[in-house]
Amino acid sequence: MRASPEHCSDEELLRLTKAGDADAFAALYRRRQAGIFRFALQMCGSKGIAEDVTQDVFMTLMHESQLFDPARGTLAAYLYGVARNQVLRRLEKERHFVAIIDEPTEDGSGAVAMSGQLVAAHDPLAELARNELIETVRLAVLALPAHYREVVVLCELHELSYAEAATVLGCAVGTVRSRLHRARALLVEKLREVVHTDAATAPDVDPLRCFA
Amino acid sequence: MNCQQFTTLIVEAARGQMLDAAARDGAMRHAEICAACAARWTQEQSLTNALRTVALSEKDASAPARVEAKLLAAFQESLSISNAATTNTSPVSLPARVETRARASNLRSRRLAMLATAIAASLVLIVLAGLYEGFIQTTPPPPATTTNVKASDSKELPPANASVVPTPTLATSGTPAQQPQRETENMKRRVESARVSLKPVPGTRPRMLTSRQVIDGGSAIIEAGGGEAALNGAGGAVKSNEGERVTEFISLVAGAPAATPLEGGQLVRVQLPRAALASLGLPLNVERENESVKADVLLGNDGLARAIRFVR
Repeated sequence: MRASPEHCSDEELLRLTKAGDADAFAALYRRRQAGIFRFALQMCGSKGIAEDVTQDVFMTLMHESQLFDPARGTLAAYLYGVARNQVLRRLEKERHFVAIIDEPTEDGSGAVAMSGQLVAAHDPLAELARNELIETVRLAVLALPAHYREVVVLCELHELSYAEAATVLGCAVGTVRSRLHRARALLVEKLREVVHTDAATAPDVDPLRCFA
Repeated sequence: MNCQQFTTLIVEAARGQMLDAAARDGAMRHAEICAACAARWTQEQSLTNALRTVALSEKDASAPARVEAKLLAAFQESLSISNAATTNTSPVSLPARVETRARASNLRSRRLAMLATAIAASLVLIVLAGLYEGFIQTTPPPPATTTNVKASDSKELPPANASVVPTPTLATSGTPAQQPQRETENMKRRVESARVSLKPVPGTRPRMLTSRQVIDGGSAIIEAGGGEAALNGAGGAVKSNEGERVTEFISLVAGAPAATPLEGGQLVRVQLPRAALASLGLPLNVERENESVKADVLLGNDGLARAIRFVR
């Protein structure tokens, strides 16, 4: 008597799925679909695309499950990888139709905004209202270049470790780390007035010149 | 610790992932004495909090239930398809959207197959064009009358193992009635001397015919000026060793190219529209014009088509 699907590991569920067990496939889907859907949503910003990507990821698992190699990582990482490929393919298709334009701020400080929403113009404290903050940060993440966006989504929003993210992205751990540092710097730049809660006390000093 | 060292640690510190307590303490001490790094530290912490707020706000996001329904339906369908494939080859239809997605994965292979088919068709057309052009440049259509000649009666035909260099030029003298017979004998000599290696065309059974088998000396009856009459079962067609009935080779070259001795070549099986018989000057049953007919094209080592025979 085998354990219920909910108590099986991903790999065991996949094995049962290959054997034609619909319950195992359903359990695997229910366990992993939310993460895949959120990943696609955070990468694309479109629920419709995220829905399609989720469906395609599990269709791929259904028809090409032999491509998963347990020696190369977990099934979750494999699914994230498939989702990433699907997302990047869609982003590439729609690149010519959806332009993300960074506009310089009025004060010329170098901070950039997306659709005028990322930089608080008059009242930073009001901008920090939770919903607006969420939307602002979400848009800032979406405005990142794809290779920075994916590390932010994986490491920050999905809390994957550097090693797990490296498996998903197929790159070195050091690459993930450096991309995350750069992506966070870009986010800080984009959200300077939103996240900089102590701006009044921060002196305008170039950090690279400080060797204290 | 200086600012550069602080910068390398600040992200992990702000994300709460730094494990080295000493490094973290050093970074905090540096932030206390460096206002710029303190501000940067504050920014990183704020960014981490903002990102966690976003992650928290979306933690319940998930795909709609209809996705699961579609996937489970597709899974069941794929199971039934695989089961049906073992017992029955009849196709099972998938739900519209899922079917589209399932077929999308096969689209690339189908395109490749179509491309291969197009390339093969192009090659056949090129061969046909070459044959037709060569024919236009060589001979007028042979007479419709047929002459039955026994291969063993051909006095000029050397023995199979004789090292005779043939003269592949077509006969240009003689009466029109004698011309087909001379062409036949010339072709016999060429084929006799050629060590013909057959390359099987995809879809046809590979076979190795020797030059002796091609003309099948013995008592085989060769029908000069073959074509439609031979294909329609006239008694003069040559029988191959696999039950096929073939006409005599019809020369496709004349003049300078034909002067080159045929020392080797390839026999390529092609399929032609029956209308090609007319282009070679052979009689054609117009009622079967749209059907196709098999033919063997004899290619020399120089790639030129030397002769063609039709197969039934």
